[in-house]
Amino acid sequence: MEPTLLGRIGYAFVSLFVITNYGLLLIGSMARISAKVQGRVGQPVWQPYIDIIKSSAKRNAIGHGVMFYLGPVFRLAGGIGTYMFIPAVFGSVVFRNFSDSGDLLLVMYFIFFGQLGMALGAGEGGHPYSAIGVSRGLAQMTAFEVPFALSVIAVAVQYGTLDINAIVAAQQGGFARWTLATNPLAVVAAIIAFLGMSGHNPFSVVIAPQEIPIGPPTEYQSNLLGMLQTNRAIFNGAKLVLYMNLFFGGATNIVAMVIKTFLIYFVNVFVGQAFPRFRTDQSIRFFLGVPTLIGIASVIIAVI
Amino acid sequence: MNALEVLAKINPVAASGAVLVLVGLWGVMAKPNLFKIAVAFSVMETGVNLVILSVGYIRGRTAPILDSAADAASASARMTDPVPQALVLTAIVIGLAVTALMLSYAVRLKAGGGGSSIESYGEEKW
Amino acid sequence: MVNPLYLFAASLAAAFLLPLVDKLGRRVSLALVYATIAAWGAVALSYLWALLYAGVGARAFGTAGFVAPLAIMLRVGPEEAAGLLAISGVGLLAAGAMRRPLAEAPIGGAMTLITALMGMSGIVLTRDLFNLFVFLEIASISTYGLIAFDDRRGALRAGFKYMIAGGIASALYLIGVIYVYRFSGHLNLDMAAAAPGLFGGAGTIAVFFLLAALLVELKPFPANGWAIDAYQTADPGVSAILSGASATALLLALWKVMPLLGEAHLAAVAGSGLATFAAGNLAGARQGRARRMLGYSSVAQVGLVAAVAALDRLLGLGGLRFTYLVAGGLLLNHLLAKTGLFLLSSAIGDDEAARGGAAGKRGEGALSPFGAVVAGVLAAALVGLPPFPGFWAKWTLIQALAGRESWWLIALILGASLVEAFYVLRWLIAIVKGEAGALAKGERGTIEPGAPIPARIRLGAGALAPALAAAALVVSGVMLGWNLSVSDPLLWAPFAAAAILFAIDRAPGWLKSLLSIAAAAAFGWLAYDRLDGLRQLFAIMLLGGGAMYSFAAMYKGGARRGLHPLLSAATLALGSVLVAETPLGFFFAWETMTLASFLLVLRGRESRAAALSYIVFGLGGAFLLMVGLVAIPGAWSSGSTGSAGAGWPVFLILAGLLVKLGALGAHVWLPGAYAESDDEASGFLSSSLSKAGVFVMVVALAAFGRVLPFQATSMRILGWIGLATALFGALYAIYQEDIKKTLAWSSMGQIGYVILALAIYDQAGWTTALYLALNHFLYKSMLFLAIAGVIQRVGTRNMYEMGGLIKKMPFSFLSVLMAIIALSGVPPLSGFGGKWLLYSSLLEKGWYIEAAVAFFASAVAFLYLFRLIHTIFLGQPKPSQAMVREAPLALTIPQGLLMVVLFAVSAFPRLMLDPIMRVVGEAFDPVLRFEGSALVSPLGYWDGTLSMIVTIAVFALCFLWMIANLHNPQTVKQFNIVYAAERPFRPETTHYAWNFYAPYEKALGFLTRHRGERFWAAVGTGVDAVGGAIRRVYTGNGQTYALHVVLYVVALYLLMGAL
Repeated sequence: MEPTLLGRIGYAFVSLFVITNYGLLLIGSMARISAKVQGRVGQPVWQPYIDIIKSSAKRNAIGHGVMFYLGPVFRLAGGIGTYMFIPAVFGSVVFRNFSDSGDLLLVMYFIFFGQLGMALGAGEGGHPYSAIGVSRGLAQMTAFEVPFALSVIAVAVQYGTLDINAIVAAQQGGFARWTLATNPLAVVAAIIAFLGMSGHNPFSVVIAPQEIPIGPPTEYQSNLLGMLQTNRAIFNGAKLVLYMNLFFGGATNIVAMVIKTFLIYFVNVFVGQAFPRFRTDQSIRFFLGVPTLIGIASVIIAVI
Repeated sequence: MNALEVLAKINPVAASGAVLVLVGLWGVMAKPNLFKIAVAFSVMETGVNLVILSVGYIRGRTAPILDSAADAASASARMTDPVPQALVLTAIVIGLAVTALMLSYAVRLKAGGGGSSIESYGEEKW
Repeated sequence: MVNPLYLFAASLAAAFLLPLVDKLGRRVSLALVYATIAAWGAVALSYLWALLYAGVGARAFGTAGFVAPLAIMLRVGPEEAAGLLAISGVGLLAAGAMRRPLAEAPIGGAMTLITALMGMSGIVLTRDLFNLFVFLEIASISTYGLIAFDDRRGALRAGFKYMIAGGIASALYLIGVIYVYRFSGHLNLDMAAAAPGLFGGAGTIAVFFLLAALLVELKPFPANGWAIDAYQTADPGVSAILSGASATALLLALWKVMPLLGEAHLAAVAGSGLATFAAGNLAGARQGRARRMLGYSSVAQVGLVAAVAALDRLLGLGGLRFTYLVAGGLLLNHLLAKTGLFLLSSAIGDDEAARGGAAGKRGEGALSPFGAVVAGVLAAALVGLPPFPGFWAKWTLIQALAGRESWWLIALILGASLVEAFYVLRWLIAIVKGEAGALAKGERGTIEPGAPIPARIRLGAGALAPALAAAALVVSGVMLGWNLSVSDPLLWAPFAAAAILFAIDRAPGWLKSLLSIAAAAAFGWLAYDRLDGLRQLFAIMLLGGGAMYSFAAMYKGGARRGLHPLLSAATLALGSVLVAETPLGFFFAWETMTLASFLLVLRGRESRAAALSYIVFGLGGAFLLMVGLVAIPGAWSSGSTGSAGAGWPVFLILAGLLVKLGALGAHVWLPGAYAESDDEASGFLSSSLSKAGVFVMVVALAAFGRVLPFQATSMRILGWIGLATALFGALYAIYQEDIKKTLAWSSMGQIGYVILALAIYDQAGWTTALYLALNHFLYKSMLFLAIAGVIQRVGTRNMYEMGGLIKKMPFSFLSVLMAIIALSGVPPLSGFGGKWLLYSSLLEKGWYIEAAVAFFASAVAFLYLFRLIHTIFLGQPKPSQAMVREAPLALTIPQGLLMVVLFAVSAFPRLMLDPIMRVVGEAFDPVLRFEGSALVSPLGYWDGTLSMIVTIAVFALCFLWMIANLHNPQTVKQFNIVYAAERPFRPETTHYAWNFYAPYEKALGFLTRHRGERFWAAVGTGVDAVGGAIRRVYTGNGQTYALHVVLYVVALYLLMGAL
């Protein structure tokens, strides 16, 4: 049964609500896990909520111009939009979102929408650290996109489609049909790219928590920062869902989605806690080296 | 055919003309003095003129003048060919003009303060 | 017909009377000289009229009341009449230009001038071999006199060498004549040719002597140092006569004796001519001295003409009409252009030889506009650009040679032509732009510092003769073109527009802008019926783009002299590329476009080097294209498809187009040309003109793509070329500090995607290609227009010197923002459609690695795009730019229009894709189709409208959220930023802009080390070295030259024996 347009919008809000809360809790729990690893007590799991509420409640907002205000709008719209173009739960009408707008390619490119807008907004802030952070981030992005693109191509070749729903559908029927089982190399390449995408160690030089305050968002505060924090949750969620759909068989219900995405995200934390940080040029070379070869191998496997 | 027969076949005028041409050519290419080059050209032209004459000369015939030796009716059978002789006249005149001009060039070049060797006039090159 | 004997009598009388008449004053005697030369010209004209229009046949005049063999015969036929006209024409122009030196020198100069021209006319007229010798000697002796008539030292030195060579030649000739007489029994040419005696062993040798003498007189390589020295040192007027008139006479003499020649002789003529053409041009490339350079070019051209005449007889290229057209056209082109250029070099004071090496006027100032036009016409004609005779002759020649499959000859001729184009245009650029360029260096080393620099060199009366030569070139070129049935008015429209706009060049810019737009509109209206769907799409980009940039050109006030005529001509030439129906018509339009755009590039401020490499590569590409076109019978005829026989020539066409499109490897011309031309011209080149190459590639691939040898592999290679272009264009772009360089490299990259998409060669790929092309037109226009405004307002092209301009130029920012979103392919703007189409069609085709590389390339594009917008519009504003205003309306209006269009085609992709798919659907089976607003491929789908709605809705929600929660917003001052408790020092040090991607350079910089530039520089050095080696034979020693002559003759003889 095809829902009405109004119904679809309502479902979209439900879906968005779920992913936002899930994303926030995920960030909070991962931060707590990291703290445990480092021998600290760590923040409460709901700390992200507190942060957002606090930021949004600030009585003053400092602005540097129109684009500065629009930056977080772009960023949040980019996060939500990305999520909206992905079907979150296979076969669910509620979590189908607006995935009929376009296929995998649309999602891959819409990811840039928020990043670009955010970078522009930060740029108008006039802070050199913002620009440096953007410079590093973009440079790294071009590199990790290569293994990612290769593994996506491998997936597209393997399933003969770029339609995310169809890709998930092809993986139904048990673990043996997941991409993880049928083309593990593609998954390896994509996961390595994912490390870069999430900006955890060893690819965290973009926001460089020690030397530079916080990279691109340096100048942001108040409600604007709140929006960025919200986006972080949604955007992470969207990317995780995408990975889950492409490589881990998707999810037929919320619980499966939560478990799978949690595990995917955990890879980040795991690696991030174990490795020191690359310089930008090192990470570029890294991504264009072994991960790219793995990606090429995965395409070859898919073709054969 | 022995050597004598070969020699006998050679037109002596043409042969001496050819020798003069080669001598002249050698002079043009080997003597750096401007005036000597002009002289060498004269030698070469003389040689060329001899060659021309040799073509018109036919052994045993008379000079191409209508007199007792040949009348109008038998002229073409008894006279040598007059055309090359006429040509030589022109060529001599032209050769004279060239020699004169060359000498005047040489004089002007020297008068302008240059040397008399052609090697000192190689400023335009490459 | 007038008996020419009267003219000889008149000339001799005039020459001998001159010393007497001179007593009445030099004015009177010069008038007598001009009148005598003009009389020859008038009679020649009457001959031509009688022969061509009154229907009189060629006529022979006997002398002294007899006919041959008793008398010397003078023949007046079409060749002779034309030759006489050429000699008197050149003579008159040269004599006019030499007015002052003739007036100052002794009267002997004027006398020798008359007798020299008379001697040359005699060479043309006579049919008697010995009389030919006499006239040769009259001409030579007079020329020796003329060379040194004003007693300049250099000319005396050169004249002596000239005499040595001439003397040897005349001795050879005499020996030849007498033996021809000996073996044939005749001195009359026609009778000798009919005599059987000449075609035996000995007769051949007699003819050989004759031929060798004439060839030596024609200045073959390497026996031509004496002539080049004379060209360099004599008065330019004399050089013009030597190069134009004397060469005409001698070529006609050669033409005359051709009936006597056997095949071996002809082969020797052709070989010697071609060798001279190649060697002369190579040696010319090394020349710093203008006159000597023109001298090398002269001997080269004459060699080519002689070779063409011989080749026709050897290979049967097309008979008499062919020889008239090609050899005659080349000769006419040569003599007019060379006369004009020699005289021009005198008028602009490029005369260092006469001044003992002192710096001439050139090298210090630029030419006045009129002088520049004249120089441009002459140089363009010499190089063989349309619409001048050389262009038509070259096309006909190459076509005929292709018909005989003489590919090596074609390669040799075109290669040497390219070298010639290089040095002639280098000189043109130097004199037009006026600075001590590379040319001046070789000769003089230094220009005295501190010397006052005149802004413009005005030629005054000195321009008259060159201008007349230029006018004659234009007229004869148009007539020849008409004769070759290139009579479509639309093809000539670019020249008409350029001429009209040049005529009103002083008018205000807005008027000329409006006229240009009207011209483009009128062209579109007139051509509309001939444009099919594909051509209509391209007409939007080409004509519409041209009109738009003409409009934008109003953004700077004033007349903007020279810009509008060139822009309009280039626009209309692009239009005529679309409407051309024959290969020649197309190539004509193509070269017209090359010429106009070259001049457009040249107009830029620092564009010398850029313009030169632009035209050299442009011509190189065009030559490849030309050979491809002539090698495929029926190419470009309307509706030709997949004809058999089109094999490897298609590769030539593709290679030519790849050069034109700036594909990686042949891209080195691109950044400079796009960056250094005027700002709106850059945009025009990038967004409109580059599409002409795309258009031709579409047409060529549509017609011949299926019959390419190794079709699949070839297409794959083409795809990789496109891909490499895309990737490296982007990689180079990210390191540029210069904003226009960034855009230039970016353009290269974007065209690379188009090439890649065309190589996919199915419906999806071609839809992608056309969609990308149209999109590139849209967003690159917006970028270039916005950037033009920025550069105008801030006065620099270095991005790091800008910053924070968003507050001063918000509209431009918005334009750039939309453009970079579209260019980078971020949804929801139309650029994403291009990416989606590209990846879909690549994956569908099975080109997976290509898709990954393309993905990488487009990710790299983000880098330079962000840098572009950030360092210009964001970051820290500079105090010095506090008063900057928004760009002028002339720029913002087109941008606004483009924004609307971009938004419309983004929200409704069918607006653009429906026409494209209709066009592409004619050639391919469908792969993509629309379902409602969703575009569906076998792999996936994309709904542009829905994604636009979702994006807008989400954006609006976030915006409302932001507004709703924004408490007490305060805008703070520039330096009020979180800065580790410090205060930033200055905006310049706080603006992170210079070397923006240093880490990237460190990681991947090894990829972008300008290998292409180094490769071509090495090629250039190689050519240069060969030229340098060749010219070493010209030692300047007269005896060495004599040795050259002798060795040349010996070599020629041996070669003939071998043949």
